[in-house]
Amino acid sequence: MENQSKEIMSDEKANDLLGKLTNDLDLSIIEEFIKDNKTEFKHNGKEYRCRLINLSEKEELNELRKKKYSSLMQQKDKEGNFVNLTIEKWKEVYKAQGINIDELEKKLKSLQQEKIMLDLKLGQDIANNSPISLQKETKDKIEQIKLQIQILNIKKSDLMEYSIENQLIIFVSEVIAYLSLEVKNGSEWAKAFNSFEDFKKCIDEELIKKIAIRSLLLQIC
Amino acid sequence: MLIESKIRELAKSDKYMNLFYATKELNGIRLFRNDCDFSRIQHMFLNYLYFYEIIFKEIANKKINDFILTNEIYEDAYYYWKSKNINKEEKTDKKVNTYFHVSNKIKFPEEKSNG
Repeated sequence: MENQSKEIMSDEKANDLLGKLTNDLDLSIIEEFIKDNKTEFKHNGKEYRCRLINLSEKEELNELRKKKYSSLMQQKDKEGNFVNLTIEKWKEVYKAQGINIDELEKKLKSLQQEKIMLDLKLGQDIANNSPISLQKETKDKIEQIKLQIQILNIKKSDLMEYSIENQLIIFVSEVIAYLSLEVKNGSEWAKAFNSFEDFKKCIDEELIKKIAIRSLLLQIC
Repeated sequence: MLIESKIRELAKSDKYMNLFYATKELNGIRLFRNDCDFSRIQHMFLNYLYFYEIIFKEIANKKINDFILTNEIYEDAYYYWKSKNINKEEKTDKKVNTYFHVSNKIKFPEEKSNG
């Protein structure tokens, strides 16, 4: 019973997270970015833009990533134990507590396989002009599986939140946001922050939110 | 996942479908401000333009019902099924065409004997 209620709470949390993401992304930002690989916005009377990072900035990103990876791997607590763990190590820790990530991954694979079979069936039904009600029935089944896959993926990334791999992904997205952000000075564009440390000290939450939404696009690039 | 849906929404729109056809037909009309070094998001957008071009052609040729456009799941399922069956269709088409040409159109020259 207790396990069941935990399961329900987790599903609700996952759905909530999906909903929040949907609301935050504006179509016009994506359109602007697709056209030109950059997107401009105004904030507190200043003009900002996020753009693709160039080759030298990519090298800077790589250097920062290497340093971060090295420090995450070596960081120890007062007792001399390593503070950060890789995904594989976390799997072992969770397994000892009765949470089997490999089982979760197996379930994900089997759901994906089930979805492929249903996709083929639905595609065939569409090609044969089968009754709409039959197509809708299969579509609903696929929708349910997709939702289950999304929820399981969110659960998995929730459990792996503190893994070295995940911390690196978050770090890289912050560095990309810093490297790609420029501010207009007169007619020229210049770096909005002098260094990554300055960027990290920024307390303007509204600006950070605007950058974060746009940096989602940059991560695809 | 979410961004992909938004990119699809743009690619599927009349505005971008028309622009896509125009770029193929006319010189000087461009989809992007850059001519080369396309970013991954631009490649993704291009892929979806081709994806919807195929879907819209199938609807125009009355191969499928436009009901498919009501949900991404229908579009994906049909496209996936089509990609898996395209080789079979090509083989069938080739057989039909070969039969047609050989039986009705081509007059092979008679072989002349050297003797």
